[in-house]
Amino acid sequence: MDNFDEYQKFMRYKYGAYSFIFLMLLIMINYLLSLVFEVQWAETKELEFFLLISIALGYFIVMSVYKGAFFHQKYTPTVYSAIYFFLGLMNIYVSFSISFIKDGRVTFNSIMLINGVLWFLIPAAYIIREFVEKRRDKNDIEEK
Amino acid sequence: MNQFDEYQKYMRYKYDSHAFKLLLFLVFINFVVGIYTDFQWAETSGLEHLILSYIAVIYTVIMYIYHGAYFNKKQNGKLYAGLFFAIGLLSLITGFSPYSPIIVDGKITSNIIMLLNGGMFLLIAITYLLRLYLEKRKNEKEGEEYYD
Repeated sequence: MDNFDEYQKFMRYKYGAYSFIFLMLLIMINYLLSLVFEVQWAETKELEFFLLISIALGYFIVMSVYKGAFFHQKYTPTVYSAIYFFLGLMNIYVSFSISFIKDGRVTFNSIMLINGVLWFLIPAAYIIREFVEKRRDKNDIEEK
Repeated sequence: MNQFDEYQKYMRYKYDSHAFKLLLFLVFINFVVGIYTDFQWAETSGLEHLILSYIAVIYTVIMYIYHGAYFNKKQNGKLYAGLFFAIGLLSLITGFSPYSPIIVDGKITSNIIMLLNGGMFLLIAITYLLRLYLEKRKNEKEGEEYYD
């Protein structure tokens, strides 16, 4: 964490904490659902858990990129977002050739898709951040 | 979160995010072990995950207390610690009854939840006492240095 400045550290802690609470909530709901109604929406319980974690992780990634706390000071975000974009695109493209729902349950093949989406979220959030910042700058100049 | 001051908020965020990382790490190890060896240490894998999340929650709660970020300014820490101590002791005593075995066929059963709950409450009280003791000793030392 030494590569981040104070603001970035705070933001990372904050959204890490929120995603932890979010994950706890999801786990609790899922556990109660499987306990009371015996619902199972993925092939194995491990996979269910894995997918829930991916949701929380995705939330953390989006929020930290959006708040400008994902990339180190030394890194150039545009290069990294481009790399992540292609990684995500490749993963998603490959994953569409295999089916990830069988007998109404999500299979292990969905991990590739989830991976791709997680990679893909980084450049998407980065572009939105840049767009919002640009518009804000423009508004500031116009007001002046 | 409004009843906490800035330092407490920072500590809460910090140890929550550490717990998030800890949980991801634990789940990853559990996942890998489960894939390669088919080893299952609890009755259902849902229970396994519940226990792992308990570990993460207990970690974050202990760290809150140790850094003085669990109780807010208006709460009386000693009163709550005493209450938690009693609750923890009660659930531990009832948790250890012979009618609800914790381990069956080498696998943990869902009776462990009661014990985990009790353990968490007890740990809250113990950590609070430890913190009080350490603070007192620190103050004494500082006082001695001041008067020397």
